[in-house]
Amino acid sequence: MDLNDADDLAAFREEARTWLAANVPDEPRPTTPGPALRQFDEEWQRCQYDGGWAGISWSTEYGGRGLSLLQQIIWYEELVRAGAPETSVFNVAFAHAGPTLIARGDERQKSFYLPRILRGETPWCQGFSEPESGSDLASLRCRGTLDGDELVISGTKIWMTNAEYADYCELLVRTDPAGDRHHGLSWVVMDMHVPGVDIRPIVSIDGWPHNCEVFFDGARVPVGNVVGGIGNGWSVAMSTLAAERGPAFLDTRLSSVLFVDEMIDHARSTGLLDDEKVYADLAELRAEGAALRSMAYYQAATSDPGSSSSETVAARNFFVQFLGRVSRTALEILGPDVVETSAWTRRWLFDLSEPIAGGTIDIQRNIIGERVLGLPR
Amino acid sequence: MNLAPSDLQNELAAAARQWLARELPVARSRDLAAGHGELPDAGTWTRCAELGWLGLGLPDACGGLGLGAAEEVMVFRELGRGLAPGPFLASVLGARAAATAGRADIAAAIADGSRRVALSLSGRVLDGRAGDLLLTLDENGAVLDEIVEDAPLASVDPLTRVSSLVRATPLLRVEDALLLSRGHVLAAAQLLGIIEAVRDMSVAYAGSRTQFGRPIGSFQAVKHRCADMAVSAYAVVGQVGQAALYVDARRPAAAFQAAAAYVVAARGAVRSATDNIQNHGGIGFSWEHDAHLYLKRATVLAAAFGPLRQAHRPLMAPSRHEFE
Repeated sequence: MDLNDADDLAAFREEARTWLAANVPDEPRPTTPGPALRQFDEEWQRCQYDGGWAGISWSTEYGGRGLSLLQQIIWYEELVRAGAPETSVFNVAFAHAGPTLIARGDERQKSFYLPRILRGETPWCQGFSEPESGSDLASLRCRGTLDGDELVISGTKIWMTNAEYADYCELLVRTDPAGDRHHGLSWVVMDMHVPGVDIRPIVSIDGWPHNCEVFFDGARVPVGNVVGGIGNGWSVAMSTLAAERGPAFLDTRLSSVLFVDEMIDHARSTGLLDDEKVYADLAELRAEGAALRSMAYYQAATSDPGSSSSETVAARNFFVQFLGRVSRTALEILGPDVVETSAWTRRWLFDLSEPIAGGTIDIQRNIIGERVLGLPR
Repeated sequence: MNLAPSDLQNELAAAARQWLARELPVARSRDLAAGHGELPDAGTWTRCAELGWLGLGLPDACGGLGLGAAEEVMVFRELGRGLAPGPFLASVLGARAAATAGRADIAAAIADGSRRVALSLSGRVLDGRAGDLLLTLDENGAVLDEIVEDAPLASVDPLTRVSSLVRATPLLRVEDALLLSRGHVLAAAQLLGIIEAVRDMSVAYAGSRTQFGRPIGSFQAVKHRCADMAVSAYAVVGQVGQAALYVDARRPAAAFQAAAAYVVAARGAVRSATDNIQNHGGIGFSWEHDAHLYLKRATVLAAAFGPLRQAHRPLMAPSRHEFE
């Protein structure tokens, strides 16, 4: 433990801050679904690409910026501080698809898909969950049947975030019908615009269609789009999930930390900060927010990049607990204003997805119990 | 900022852990407490001083090792884990207060173990006797007095001596707003050790205790409580390290970071130690089992600087949560 920064992080922070101050879009991200949303995200991504800030965690060999973990943390801190857009239709492409292609794709796949992601041209979505396969992903049934040099896809995927904006999907299908659970799966790059792909948005509890259900009915995809080899889908999918390690989702977490500042301001303006309980609740949220941030620094300093993602699971658990308390306090501060839809009520409702998306927190606690602490199944 | 402990820091912790397990296990502390002897006895206290634990962060001129808060937290984490009895917290803070006040002689006497420093808590004395020094912290600094007379009180924690202060003579006053923050950091490190200890205790029991033909750790209700303890430890460990570094460097956010470490550690430790009793069922409720000692120590540490809500003030002081 020391305060020494080997690679001049203060200068890096200044560079990031200066660039963001000059380039973060002035207008807010559209608040209604539609083509303008994708266009907004494309332009912001292109702007980051032109500024040399696309693919911050990707290695420079593949056109990324190749930042160290500490630099990535600082980038996210500055991103949130600058009020940059909090989400994007490119999230899956950068956090999952790109890193998976880099780890397991062949040269053709890498050279075709990666630059198009970096330049902000092709949003991706993830096709893992199915109506009958949620936390139990390995039970998935969506078929990919070999027909000549094509796979014919039949089945249903669900909870595909931003699928209606995506050009490609990282699709996990069962290519060997005899394969049981983790066996006989393949990870394939699916073009979302071919015939036989029917995308139906699902409206979430906040009134926004975050996710889609997608029906594949004989949609065809070249066998050459399989990444990591036919039948190796489970291990490829796990490398995708491993890409979620590191500070990839830190901006969302830090945004919640800064939301506590907004809550404090609001409580002060209404006089509610004089209420002992509200004051105490907000102070404890400040403390937890600080811990949330230092977890990222601790993980960056101590984890072996090739090790298990147990620390990431633990950080997500703490974040989810934190969010629950943020929501409770926000509702208390809102008081009767809660009956009217506002940015705060939208945040409260959206945050209810955090303990679910990416694997329910209940299963994640099992994982900590079993894989980290060694408790029996 | 690098929050990974260095080899030296890890070695300090490992040595402390081994020494405590060998020389001052909980069973021995229980015996000392049951015999109404000193907590710990003079010989043990002197050996802790010889190991350097009371002067890690003190300058050489005051009999210290010239290290920093980052090293202190590594040792205090082990003191928490091992439920070591004795006025470690107040002695380390008291030595620093004396050094800051220019009283190298007093600082050195504390560091070599010849003078103990008790903690003053709203008219009470924690871990002190007549002849000891008494540290009273506030938001601007601290006062060191000499205890002339105290009267024993019934302590909630068998391994903490509590008495009421009858008479003391003033010794010195020092202005240092970060002294309380140092206290927050050291207490947070002890509380972290407690979280880790009860986590390991619960995991060991849940893996071996069988009911309905299976280890109780296979039941999600128990497993999830254990997982929550692991999450709590993980949330605290980085924050304690960061706060230690900030306090040593006297950064503007030092008091904020230290209070954050203390509050998160206190909440996590009290909850984990409570859950640990539940995980153990009936035996966890028994005096002979150590589970209650961890809860009681965590509770004392969470109250050691006054009501926990006093630590909220530095958390609410900045208008923005700065990321620097």
